[in-house]
Amino acid sequence: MSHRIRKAFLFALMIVFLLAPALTVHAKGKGFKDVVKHIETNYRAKKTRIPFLGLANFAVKVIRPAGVKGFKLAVFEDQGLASRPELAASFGSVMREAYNKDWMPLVQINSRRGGNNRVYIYAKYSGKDVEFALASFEEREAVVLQVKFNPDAAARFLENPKIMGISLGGPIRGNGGNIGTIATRTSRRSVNVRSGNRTTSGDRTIAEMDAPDTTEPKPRPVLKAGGSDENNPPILPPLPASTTSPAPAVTTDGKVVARTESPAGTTDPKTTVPGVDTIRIETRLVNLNVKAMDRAGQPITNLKLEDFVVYEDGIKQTVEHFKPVNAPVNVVLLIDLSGSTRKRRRAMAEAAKRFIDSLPLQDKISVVAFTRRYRALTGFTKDKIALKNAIEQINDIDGGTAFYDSLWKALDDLDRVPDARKAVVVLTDGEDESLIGDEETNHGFDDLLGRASEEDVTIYPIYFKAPEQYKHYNKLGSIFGGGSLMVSDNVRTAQKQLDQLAEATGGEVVNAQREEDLEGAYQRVAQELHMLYSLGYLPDKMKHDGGFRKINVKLTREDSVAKTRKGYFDR
Amino acid sequence: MNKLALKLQLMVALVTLCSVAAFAQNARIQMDHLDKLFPKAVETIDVTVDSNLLKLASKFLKADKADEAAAREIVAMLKGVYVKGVEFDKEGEFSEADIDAVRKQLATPGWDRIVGVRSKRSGDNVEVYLMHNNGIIDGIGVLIFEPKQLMVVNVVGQIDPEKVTQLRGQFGIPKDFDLDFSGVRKTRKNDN
Repeated sequence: MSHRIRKAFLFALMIVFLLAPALTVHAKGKGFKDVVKHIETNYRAKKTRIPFLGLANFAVKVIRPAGVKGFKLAVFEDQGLASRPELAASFGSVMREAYNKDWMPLVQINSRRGGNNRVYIYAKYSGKDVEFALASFEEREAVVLQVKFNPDAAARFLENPKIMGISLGGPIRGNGGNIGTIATRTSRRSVNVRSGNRTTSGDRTIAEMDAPDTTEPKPRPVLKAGGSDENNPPILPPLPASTTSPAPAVTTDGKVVARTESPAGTTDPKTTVPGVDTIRIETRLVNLNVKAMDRAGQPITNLKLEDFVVYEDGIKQTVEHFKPVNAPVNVVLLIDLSGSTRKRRRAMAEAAKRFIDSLPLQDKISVVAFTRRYRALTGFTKDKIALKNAIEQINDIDGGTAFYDSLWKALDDLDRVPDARKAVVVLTDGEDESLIGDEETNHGFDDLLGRASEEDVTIYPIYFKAPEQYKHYNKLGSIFGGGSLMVSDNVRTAQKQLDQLAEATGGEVVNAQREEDLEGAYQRVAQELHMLYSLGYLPDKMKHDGGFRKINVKLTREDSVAKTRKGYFDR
Repeated sequence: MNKLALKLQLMVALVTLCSVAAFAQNARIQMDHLDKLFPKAVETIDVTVDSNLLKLASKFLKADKADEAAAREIVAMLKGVYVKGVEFDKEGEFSEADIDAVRKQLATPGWDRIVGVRSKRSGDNVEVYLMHNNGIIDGIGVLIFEPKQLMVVNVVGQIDPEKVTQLRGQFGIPKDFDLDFSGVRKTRKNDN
């Protein structure tokens, strides 16, 4: 009996052990696993593979950065989650069942506008730790995240960011709602010293960045009164750096040559060109990219030099050089490869390639990708095959968003191009990391805008961000009074800054809210680039007082208007 | 939903500024009846932030920084923040009874209506109520509705107006914001 009973007892015990977890699960939701399983089973969705996620989780458990003790993450991308609306509607019940015990619902947002978008946040307190579960469910993608952290450790981390004893810099006081404070801080840290071609900011210099070395002297353009090959103007030997914008000098034989100016306003003797007697004049060539339109906004592309009248501070100027709309353009094709763009790279690459194809053969393009680093994938070239091959590399690049610094370096690159027709076409959401207080920037926005206003480079931002992307998070940010979830102010700031950059340089912001809009946006910019005339004039009198010189271009034709940059600072 | 979000933001400013105890639980408005409106709504929001989470949030505010210390004290006194909101595609999806169910609670002793805005042009209605006892604010109730929208915001906990004024110029609170609760009674009389 005893043997049989013992066997039966052991058997029963085994059954209990086997069933116990299942019974527990029935009584208590498994949370993350249940939600993921629901998505996988009911929508036949497959999780997006995230490289090294397991390793990252292990590392987090060991290192516990910012007090985080562990996380679970499942991402479903490009799935047909809208295929079963009746299930989507019951997603709230799934969440409630999955997070039914100990968990507290914090936020539930549903939106049937623009799809079926849902956000759920649950919290659980376990001793000194807190667990958050977030599920975001949209038409084509879903994200399920569960994270456990120690709030005290997280607060300590924010105050003194350290991982494994290694300091990550100053305190992170990320109050997203106080954008003004962040902007002020950023601006204070961005002490930029433009000393010639080398830019110094605090303890960092551009030279430390992975970018073309800007410490090399720049070649300066030579403008011959007697005329030169438009596409290949002669270049002077490289000249030392100057603290001011390059100004041309006129030679005794009537030629205008480049000159530089020392900080005190005296000319560095080394800057004179051997064998050429030069006369320095206090002037510089002001280049303008000008778009001419009729009253209906339609571009006018058949104008001649005599159709333009240029005024500086209300005084008529003599236009020294003119190029029609079909003259070659030098373009930096700048592509924002921050993490948020990863899943849209294919569409971005295809649209960029078609943009390259649509530009005339004589245009020179440089393809540049940027994250926190500026990566020139090509130099300026007309070789469209090489350019398109370079575009393929963008799939392998990922990182943050040093937008200001990258645009600054794009302007540096264009500075080295000895031609007047220059443009930057930048595909971005414009959100520099400094806006959210993550990173310092070598160049603040004000400095960038100031410089862009002075350069003869037209900037065309292609604003690429889905308006719905952060909608729910905006609400959360609002609810929490401007916590880290609040991104709406950053978005607004970024949009405004892009507008300012475009307006200051005579360009235009083109919106691309969906992947499908990208090609159209690029095509529009391609057309715009060849609606630009180039005009150059030598201002009558330079004061070098730092004052702003307002530029106004008028057309002699009736019912037509011209658009160009607003002016420049006379330094 | 932009309007809704904007209003929400305004409310949160109020929440933050009026952020808040003793009568705490009495200041809690029941709004579960609004859940029945959710299935028909095109936009819904449901927020429940309890005292534990608020305490957690306060950990991230430093006690040794004047501005953050004030915010920390305010948040520490809060017992909860609750929001429910719905927006519909067409008018008439919610009834006066849905609004009255909230109003009835806000008409009980202790609550005073301090702001009542009605716009005939847009149909916007905003009503702000305070629960106070001997000059101490114990809770805030906000009722916002227009033909296609209904939202209720409830902040529970003690709010010290003095501390709130210290937060002017921060957390989205206007620099010239003046939170003078001394005229609550008077305002109420005028308002009614």
